[in-house]
Amino acid sequence: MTTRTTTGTSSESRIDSARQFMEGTARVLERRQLEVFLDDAPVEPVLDALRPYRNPDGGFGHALEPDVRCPGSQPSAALTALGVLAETGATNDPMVTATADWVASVARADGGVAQVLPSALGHPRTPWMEPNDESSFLTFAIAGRLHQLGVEHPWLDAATAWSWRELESQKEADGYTVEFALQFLDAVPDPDRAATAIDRLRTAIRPDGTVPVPGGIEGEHIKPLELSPRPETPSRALFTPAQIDADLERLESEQLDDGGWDFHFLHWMPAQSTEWRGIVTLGALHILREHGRL
Amino acid sequence: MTYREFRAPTGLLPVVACLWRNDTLVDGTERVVPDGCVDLVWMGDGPPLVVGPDTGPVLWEPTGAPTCGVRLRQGAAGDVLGLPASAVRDLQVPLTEVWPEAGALSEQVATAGDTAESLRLLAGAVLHRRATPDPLATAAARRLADREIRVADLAAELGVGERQLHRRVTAAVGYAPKTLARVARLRRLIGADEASTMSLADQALAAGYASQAHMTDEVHRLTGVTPVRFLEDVRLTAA
Repeated sequence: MTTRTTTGTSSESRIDSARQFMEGTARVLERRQLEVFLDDAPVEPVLDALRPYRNPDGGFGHALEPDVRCPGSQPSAALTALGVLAETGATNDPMVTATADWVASVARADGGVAQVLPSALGHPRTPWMEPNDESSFLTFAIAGRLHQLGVEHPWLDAATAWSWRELESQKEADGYTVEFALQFLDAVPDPDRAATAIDRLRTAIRPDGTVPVPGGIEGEHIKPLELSPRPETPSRALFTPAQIDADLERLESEQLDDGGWDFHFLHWMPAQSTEWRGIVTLGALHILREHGRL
Repeated sequence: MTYREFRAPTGLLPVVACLWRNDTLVDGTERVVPDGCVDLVWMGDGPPLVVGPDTGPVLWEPTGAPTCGVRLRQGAAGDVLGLPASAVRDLQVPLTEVWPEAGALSEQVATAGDTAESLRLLAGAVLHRRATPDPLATAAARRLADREIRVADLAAELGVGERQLHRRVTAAVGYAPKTLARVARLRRLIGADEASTMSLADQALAAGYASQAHMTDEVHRLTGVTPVRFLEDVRLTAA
């Protein structure tokens, strides 16, 4: 896992080795997403693979988001599910509204949602996924996905109001708050206000385009393509073309000899590590294709 | 700031080219030339309008206020509007004539305090339609933007008959493929001019015109001015 493939790898061999990695390692959900992405396969098997993670309360759990491994429904799993629904273009699937309803049912009075709910207690999870009773940065990301999906929902109005209050307060955003805030700002249909808020986040970004993660593993930082994964989006105002090009080269060079990509935060347990690798490998392929590099 | 573009929010990327705000009309006029796009526009006062794809120049009169709008991508207008885009070709109609159910929205936009608020309302309204562009019309527009190609060859390349291409492009874009090709050629002329030291005759050939005379005739019909004047205006707007 330490030897890097050389740059200049052809798209074909890049895709072939990524496919080998996914067949060897990834769970059914990401395998089915890969088939849609590479082979234009139908979307229905992706939705079929998503459903077993659902609970009768309308939420998602069962380690759909690999850091929290409890059966019960969790906000991070709802975010993952909405991401799958958005990326597969399943805007009209009933799971979209059902997920918004579930988030509303666990939301706090101020419109925000906690990072981890108490149902995680007593179940395996990574150390940063401790239940607490505060509105968290996941609110930005979940609201962003619901906006992207074109949803109209009372909770989305409340979460949008919460997000603007946070972004327009005097608080300095850092770490993953910046990443999730940008997901909200890229998606919210309020272009003038979003452009102003994006500009305010500029101070959180270092000259090389990265954002440090306080309390993360040593040197942990969030990279330009994680902060702004898609071309032509509002968040691109924060990055120069040279920064994006350099980060695309970094991403290309980080495909490992086993064909997959790895993630840059703490590897805590085996299933968490392998499952995240499937997710980030799929994500890397998406980013490279959207930038014309695959 | 005279003219500013905002990038589309992620859910609108497939159907929206950009959102914009323009202060030119506060105290001036503006010559708008065909670009193959349909816009939802707020003139700074009154209800929002649908501004259809033009086939000739339109002179906008001063409104006394900043204007703003949502520019739909070529090929997305049909599904976003919910009717063939050709129905609004060369027209400016109140949004409620296209979306009869949008009375409340139209009222909110009409009383919006500023362009930021009306852009928010218009962007949300387009987003909630969850429209999808016609992939055939989108592919046709992209190929025509890239290079000069005959409509018959374009249809063959896309694997459809000329009649089907005509029907789908007309419904999704609002123009027949032939008109879309003429507008695409005009856009290429603008694009080539930006970094060019070529003579006008060479620019004409590079954009796909048969000759400089052909270009002069076409530019005049689409924009109402000579190529020299048109390219000067474009440079001024871009500056």
